[in-house]
Amino acid sequence: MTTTRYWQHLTVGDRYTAGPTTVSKHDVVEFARDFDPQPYHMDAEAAEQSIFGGLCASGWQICALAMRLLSEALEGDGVNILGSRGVPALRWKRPLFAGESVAAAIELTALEAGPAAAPYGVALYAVTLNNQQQQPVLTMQCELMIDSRQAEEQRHG
Amino acid sequence: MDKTPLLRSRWYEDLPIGEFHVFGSHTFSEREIVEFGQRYAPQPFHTDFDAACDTLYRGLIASGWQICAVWMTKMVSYMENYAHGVQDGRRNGGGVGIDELQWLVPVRPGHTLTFTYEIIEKDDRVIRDKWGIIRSRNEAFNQNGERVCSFVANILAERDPAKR
Repeated sequence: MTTTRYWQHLTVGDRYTAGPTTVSKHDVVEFARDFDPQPYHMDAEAAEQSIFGGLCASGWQICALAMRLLSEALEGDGVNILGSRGVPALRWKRPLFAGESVAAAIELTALEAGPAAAPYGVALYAVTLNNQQQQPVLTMQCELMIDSRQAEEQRHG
Repeated sequence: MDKTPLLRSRWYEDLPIGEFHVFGSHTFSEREIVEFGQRYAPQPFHTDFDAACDTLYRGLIASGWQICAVWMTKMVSYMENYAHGVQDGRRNGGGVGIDELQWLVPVRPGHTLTFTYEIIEKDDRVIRDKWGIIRSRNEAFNQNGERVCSFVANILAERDPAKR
C-alpha cells in the first residue's frame, strides 16, 4: 500500500513518467463514432486526403488519454486527486495516428492553496505526450485539486 | 433547399468576429457518465455511484473531458444539419489547441447542458500558406442557467485562395 502524499508534501519540480499506451484503430474509430464523427477520425481513405494525411485520434481523445496517464502516475505515487479545475492551455502538436503509442512526461510547475476550508490544494502539472519516436503529440497544463486533509486528520488524531 | 453556409463552409475571411451559434443541448445519463469514466477517466466520482457518494462531490459527476467531447459532438452535428461544413474537408484544418479551459460546476446524471459558440478573435498569421486561426469562446450552461464549462478554441480555417 502506497503512503498517501498530501498536497503539503508536493514540491515544484516533482517529475513522473507514465505509459506508454497504444491507441488502436478500433479505439480511434470508437471514440470518433461516439463524439467526433469527422472523416479523418473515422475513415482511413478520407483521412489520407485530409490535412492530417492518415487516420488519427480526436484531439479530445488525446486529452482524455493524457489525463488518464497523469492520474495513473500520481495515484502510483500516493497522490489523491479530488478533481480538476481546468486546463489553462493545451496544444495539439501533431496527429496521433491509429496504432501509435504515447507516453507522458509530467512535471509539477506550481502550487496554490485551495479555498478556505476546502479539503484540497491546487497543483499545476505540465504534461507532454510523446509518440514512440519521441515527438510531441500534446502539451497540456492541468490544474488538479489534490487532497490536503493531512492537517485535519492530525488535529482530530 | 440550400443550407445556410456556416462556420467551416466559409473561408477564413468570411467568418466575422461576434458571430454566435447555439450548438444544441444534451442530457447526461448516469450510464453514459459511468461508461465514459470507466473508459477514459477512471476516478471514483466518474465510475461508481456508491464510491462517488464518499467523494467531495457526494455523487457521480461527468468527467470534464466528457463535457468537451459532447461539445464536439454537438458542434459536428450542428454543422451537418445546418451547413456544408463537416464534409468540406478543404476548409477544415482541425484544432490547434485550447486555452482557458475551466470546469466550473459539476455535471450530474440528468443535467442538461446547452452549448454556445462565439467567434472572438482572428489570428492573421498565415499558417502553412493556406490557413488562418479562428478563436472562439465556447460555453456550456446547465438547466439552471449556470455556466459549467468555458474554453477558447483555436481552429484552423482555410483562407480564400483569391485573397492569398
